Amino acid sequence: MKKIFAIASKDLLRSIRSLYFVGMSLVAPLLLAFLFSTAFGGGDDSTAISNIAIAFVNQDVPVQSSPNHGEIVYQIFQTTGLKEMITLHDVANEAQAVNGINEQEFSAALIVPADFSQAVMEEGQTAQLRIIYDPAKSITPQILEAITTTVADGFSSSKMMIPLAMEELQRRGGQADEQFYSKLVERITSQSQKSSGVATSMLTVLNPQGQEGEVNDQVQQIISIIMVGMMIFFVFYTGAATSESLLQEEETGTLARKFVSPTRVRDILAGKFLGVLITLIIQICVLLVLSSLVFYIQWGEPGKLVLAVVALITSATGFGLFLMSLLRDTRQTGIVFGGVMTITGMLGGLFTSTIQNMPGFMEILKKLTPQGWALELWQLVLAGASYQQILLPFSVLLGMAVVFFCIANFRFQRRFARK
Amino acid sequence: MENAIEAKGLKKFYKDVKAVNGVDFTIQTGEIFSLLGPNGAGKTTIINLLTGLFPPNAGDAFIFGNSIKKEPLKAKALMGVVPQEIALYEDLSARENLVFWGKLYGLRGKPLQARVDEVLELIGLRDRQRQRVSKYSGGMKRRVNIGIAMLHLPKLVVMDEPTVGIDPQSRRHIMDNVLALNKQGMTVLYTTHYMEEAQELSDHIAIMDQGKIVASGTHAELVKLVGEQDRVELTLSQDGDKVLKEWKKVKGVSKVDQDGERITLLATDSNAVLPDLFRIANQFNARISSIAIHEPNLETVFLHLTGKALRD
Ligand SMILES: Nc1ncnc2c1ncn2[C@@H]1O[C@H](COP(=O)(O)OP(=O)(O)O)[C@@H](O)[C@H]1O
Ligand SMILES: [Mg+2]
Repeated sequence: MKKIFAIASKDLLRSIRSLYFVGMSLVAPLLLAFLFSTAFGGGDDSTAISNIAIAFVNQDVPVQSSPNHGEIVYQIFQTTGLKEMITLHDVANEAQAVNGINEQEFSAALIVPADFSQAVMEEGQTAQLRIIYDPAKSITPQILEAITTTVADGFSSSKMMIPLAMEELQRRGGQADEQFYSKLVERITSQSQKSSGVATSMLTVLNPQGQEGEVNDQVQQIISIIMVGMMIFFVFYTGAATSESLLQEEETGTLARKFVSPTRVRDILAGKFLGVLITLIIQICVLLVLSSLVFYIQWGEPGKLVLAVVALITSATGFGLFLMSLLRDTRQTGIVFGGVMTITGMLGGLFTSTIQNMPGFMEILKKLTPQGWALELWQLVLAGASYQQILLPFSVLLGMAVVFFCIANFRFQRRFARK
Repeated sequence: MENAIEAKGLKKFYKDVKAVNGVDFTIQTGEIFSLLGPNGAGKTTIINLLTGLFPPNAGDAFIFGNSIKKEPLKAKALMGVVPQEIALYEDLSARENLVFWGKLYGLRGKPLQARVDEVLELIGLRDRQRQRVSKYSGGMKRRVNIGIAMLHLPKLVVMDEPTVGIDPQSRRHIMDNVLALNKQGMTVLYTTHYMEEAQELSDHIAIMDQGKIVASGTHAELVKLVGEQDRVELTLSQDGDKVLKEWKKVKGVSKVDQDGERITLLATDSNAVLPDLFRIANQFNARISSIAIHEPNLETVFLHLTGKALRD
């Protein structure tokens, strides 16, 4: 047992000493998460999400003498708070808006359909506000979607309440004119915005002077999702990179030297495996602490976080060892680092973690990789899911870890027991 | 007294090579035993079998009576091993390397630190013990490589060509160390392809070629095998195929081996055969540009037994 620890701690010392380890395991994920999130408009930099240019296409045809509800939507976006964040540009039609998006003029377009007023005014009618967005930008549509959802919610509430309010006003002899109506819709929607919490918290970022130190939930969430993707990628990467030391030591003769010492083969392997595991534990702890300090990410409940960490490091260790056990020597490891890690990471959705609603086949491919399950588990933990909800991805990951580990162990045992 | 090593019928075959092809020998406790043979003779493979790196296809070896097959941990604990290729962690310091390997040999705590200090002294690296091995010269790395095998004060040290590729001074240092350790009672198994090393160090020498021990004994016993033969080394300036053919026919010449321009032959009485050699060379218009006559030594023995020169 002592020898197992001697081997593992020696490996850990070697890992920590290498610049490569520090670079690839700790600096790279934090740096990339930072770059991505600022590119998407996160971090402390509130100006990054101000002045998002949105094309506004109002095709609304008001019914009877009702006001133009598209106009009301426009008005809502002009209210303080939203105005600083989002600038609506009137555009004649959808084609022009799409054009503008393609030319990077707008980040997204908000389309008010022709039957929008009708839908709001009449019982049993539905119409949808549509958002067209640039797939390369992923935070803008999310923010826009969040706002628009509350606007739409506001309209839904208005639809129920306004006729009653108008009736009541008329009964009392008041004048229920168009102006009164618009004002009412506007107030209801903005009230609905506030009560939903999404938009209000967004305002704090826009006006940091008013709400200093408070962290923006929506943006925060996006940074944490990006960080989770990066972290999983680099933990798996480090798992493979530290497992590579088995092949390296085979070539430098230090492994053979261990085999001629009075140490069992299984203890030597256990020491090497443990070395990988401990390295990943250190890596993930540092990443969790640093990311919560730098990005204010709240990593969720400790119990669930521990489960997520356990599942991640065991599966990353198993996967790394498994991949290395398939290779003959270190000259072949380029395939793993250049290819397998990136491809499985991509299929696992690590680089597209902020995009919801991936096509169906992508969701299936995701479930074939340990990274995909790890991403799901971590996203659930971040979202505050229950133990019951995280049970499935947790068990799948642990199962994968066991399978990978057994194959790797079998292959290495056989490889080193008989030459 | 119990024998340090008994090798019995050891065989190790690779796909197309019989690396070790039936080897038996005994090393008595307290002696320096050398395996002498050219590159590819099978020395390293024998060491790997004896130290339990991999099992033999046939046979067994006993380290102080412990079968390397049946009681590998016991047998391994009694040996210190110096591999032919330097096997160190370059990113760790000499001290860190020694401490790690000491732990694998069961040393812990204060005794470990004390032994590390002693070994650092022994290999002359106390002053640079905290420097990373990657910064060391080849000779210094060799010394650390050897020092690791001494940590647990083994009764037997197995050294596989410990002086390959280093400067004469480091080589001298290592050989003196081997002799000093042996004086303190350590049994040494030493492999080399330098006959001078084997000659200087060994109480007992086994000469190997192509996976087999072709002769074994003390230096004096081995030299006696060749009888009164001199080894003659010549350089022939021209393509000497025909010359060589004629030389082989000269009375008193036994073995002739050629490596490019360098010819080595054995002659019962070199004074008597030299005129014939020159005459024949003249017949074919070949010029002998250098000549050296050696008293019988291990090189002569090797040539006598295998028909080949023991070259670097
Ligand atoms: N792993 C291996 N696979 C195939 N052949 C090998 C292997 N190791 C050694 N050999 C062959 O076995 C023979 C003996 O090698 P070795 O024991 O290294 O010789 P030495 O140490 O005397 O130079 C050589 O012909 C060598 O090519
Ligand atoms: Mg060798």
